[in-house]
Amino acid sequence: MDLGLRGKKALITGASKGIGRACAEVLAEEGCDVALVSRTAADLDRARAEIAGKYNVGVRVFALDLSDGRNVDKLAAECTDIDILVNNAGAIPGGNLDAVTEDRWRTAWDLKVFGYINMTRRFYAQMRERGRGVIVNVLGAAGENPDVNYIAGSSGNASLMAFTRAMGGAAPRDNLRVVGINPGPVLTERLITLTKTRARDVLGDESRWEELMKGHAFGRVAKPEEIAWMAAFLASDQVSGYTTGSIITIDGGATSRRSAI
Amino acid sequence: MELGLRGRKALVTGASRGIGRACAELLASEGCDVTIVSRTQADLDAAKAKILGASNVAVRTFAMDLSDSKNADILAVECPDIDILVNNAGAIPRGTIAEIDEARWREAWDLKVFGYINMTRRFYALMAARRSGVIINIIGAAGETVQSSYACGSTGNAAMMAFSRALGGTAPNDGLRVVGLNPGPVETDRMTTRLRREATAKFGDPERWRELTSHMAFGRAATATEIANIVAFLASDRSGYTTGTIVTVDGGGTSRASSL
Repeated sequence: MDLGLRGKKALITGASKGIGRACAEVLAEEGCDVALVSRTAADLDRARAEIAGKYNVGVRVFALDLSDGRNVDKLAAECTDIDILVNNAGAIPGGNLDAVTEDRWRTAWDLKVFGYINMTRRFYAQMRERGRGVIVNVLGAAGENPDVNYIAGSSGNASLMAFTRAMGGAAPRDNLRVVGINPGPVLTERLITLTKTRARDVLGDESRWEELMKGHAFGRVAKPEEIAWMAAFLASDQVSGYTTGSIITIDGGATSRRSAI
Repeated sequence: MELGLRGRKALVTGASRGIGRACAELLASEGCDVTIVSRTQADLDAAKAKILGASNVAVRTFAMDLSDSKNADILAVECPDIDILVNNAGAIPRGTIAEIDEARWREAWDLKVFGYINMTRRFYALMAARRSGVIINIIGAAGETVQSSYACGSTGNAAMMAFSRALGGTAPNDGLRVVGLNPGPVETDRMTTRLRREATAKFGDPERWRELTSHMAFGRAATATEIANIVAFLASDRSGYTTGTIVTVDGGGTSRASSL
C-alpha cells in the first residue's frame, strides 16, 4: 500500500527516543524529510546519523525544550513548510494527587499539554495558510481510563483528547486534519526502566523484568513501531484523507477489558 | 508500506457493493484470497470478475442471506480457514421510532446486528482454535452521534460498538483481534440513490445530488476506498496491538459539535 508520503516534510517532537524515534524512522522509510526535536543534542545527533544512514531523506535536528513557548515560536520560524506534525514530546509522572505536587504537575503539563497546544497553534496556522497539513497527537490511553494513581497523566491526556477532537472536527474547513493516537503500554526505554525497578521490588531481580509483561495483551506490550505505523498511515492524505477528529487507541484492548459486574 | 497480507484468506460480507466491495478489491490487491458474500449471485459474479481482472488471487462467492443464522453456519463449514473476517452486510433504514415498526426494526437487526453476532460467533471460534485471526466490524458513526431520526441504526450501531469493544478487549487471550470501524457518510450506491431522490425533490434534478454533499467535511463524503484502506491496515500485522477499539473515519463529524 503506497502511502504517498515521499517528499513530505514531517516534524516529530520527542524524536530521539521511544515512540517519537520510531515515528521518525517510519516516516523517513516512507520517504519523508524529517525534522527531529528533543531536548538533548547528543541524542538527536545519534538519531540523525542513524536515520540519514539508512534512508535517502533530509534530516534536520533541533535541540529545544518545548515547555517554553518561545522555543515553539523559534521552531515555527525555522520550519515553515511542515506537512506532518507529530506531537509526541512529554512524559507525565505517575502518582496520586498528594504525590504530584503543583510544581511537578505544572512542569509536566508545560511540556505535554501546553507544548502540544502551543505547537498546534503555530503549525496549524502555517498549514491553514497553505491549505494542507496533518497533525498527529500521540497522547495516551490513560486519557480514557482515568487512573487516580496517574492523576496528572489521566487529566492531561483527557484534555489533549478533547483538544484533538475539537481541532480535528473543524479542521476540514481549513482543508487540514488533526488526529490522536492513544497508546497503552509501549516498550520504550522509559517503560523498561520502570519495569526493571518493579522486577527488582517484586521478583528481587531486575533482569526478570520481561516476566512482568506476561499479564499484558498477547503477553507483551506494544512495540514503538506499532504506534509509528499507525501514525504514518494516519499522516497520509492518500489513504486517510477523511480521518480527522478521531482518537485511535492502540492498547491491546485494555481499555475495553474491564469487568462491569 | 508493505502490509504483509499476501496469501491471507479474507471473507467480506455485503461484498458486492459499496464499502464491502471496496474492501474485497483492496484486500485482493494486497494479495489476499477473498471470499465474497452477498444476497445476489449476479452482483457477486460481477464483483468476482472485476477482482480477478485486477489481482492474481483466488475468489469464492456465496450468495446467501446472513439474516438467517443457518447461512452463517454453512459459511463457517465451507470456509474454515479464514484469517480476516470483515462484517459489513446490512443497511438499517432511516426513521424515527414512530416510523420504524417492530417488524422492520427486527428485520434490519437480523442482518446488521444478529448477522454480525452470528458470523462472529462461528468465525471467532474457528480462529480461536488456530489462535490466529482478525475480525473487523464495519459499523457506522451513528452509534456514537446518536440521532432520533435514525433510531434503529443509532441503537444497532451502538450495540455493535459495544460488542466489538467487549470481544476485542479479551480477544488477545485467544491470540485474536476484533476491531470496529465507524464510517460517517460514504459515497456508495445507497447514499447516491438517497441523495438523487433528495435532489429531485429539492432542485427538480437528480443530477445535482453532489450539491447536497457540500456541507460535509472537505465538501464531500468519504470514498469507499478510504474505508477499505483502514480496513486493510487494521487487518494487517502492522496493527498487531490494535484490538477492542473503534476507529472513526467521518471527516470529523463526530467531533464537530456546538456546545454553546
